[in-house]
Amino acid sequence: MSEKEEFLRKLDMFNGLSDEELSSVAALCNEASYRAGDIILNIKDPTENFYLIRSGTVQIITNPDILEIKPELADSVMVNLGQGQSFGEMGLVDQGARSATVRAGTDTEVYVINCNQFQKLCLEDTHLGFLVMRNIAADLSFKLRYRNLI
Amino acid sequence: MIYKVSFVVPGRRDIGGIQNIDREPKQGDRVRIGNQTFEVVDVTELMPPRGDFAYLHATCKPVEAA
Repeated sequence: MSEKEEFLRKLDMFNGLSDEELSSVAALCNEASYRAGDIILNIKDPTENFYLIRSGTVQIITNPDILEIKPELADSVMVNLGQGQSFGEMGLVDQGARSATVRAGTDTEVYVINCNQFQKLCLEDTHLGFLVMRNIAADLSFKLRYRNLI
Repeated sequence: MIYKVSFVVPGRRDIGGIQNIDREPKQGDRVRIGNQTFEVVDVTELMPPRGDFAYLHATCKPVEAA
């Protein structure tokens, strides 16, 4: 199993996938890296890719305009996501525009997956598609429960 | 087992966060998220485990710089 597949196995988004299915996902992963402070994607942008965090931390910011004018308004940072987390996957589900800006909180390495290519894979392999969509639903549930606690 | 953990500092939305770790967090552990170090003060199960994944919530306090 490749390093990429080993990494994917540790992500709950791919919980339950077979080695062969993980290999199919790995084939869609492209590497990217960002320096601390870099904007990875902007709120209201169209959805093209989703992201898997290999290392580092990103900040999900729901009100970036206010944060830029008044940096002390840290409440605009909705959540910080670290290794093993995904972001941008809401667009995979609803095809809507980005709901938040994502900024690298530290130097960050990610895998980038094109949404159209991944949806094509989900349609071709419906077992994989079902498991991933179920896992995304569980992840969104986890994040809602997290939000209820802060 | 992989542990998906939400690290929360009460009253501080801007710090803490969510990450996957391969060791179950325990009270007294120190964890690093972004540029800050936290001490775990309490751990609870947020959702039942599924497959190789456990879903935990860790309440933390920031560790003051020495």
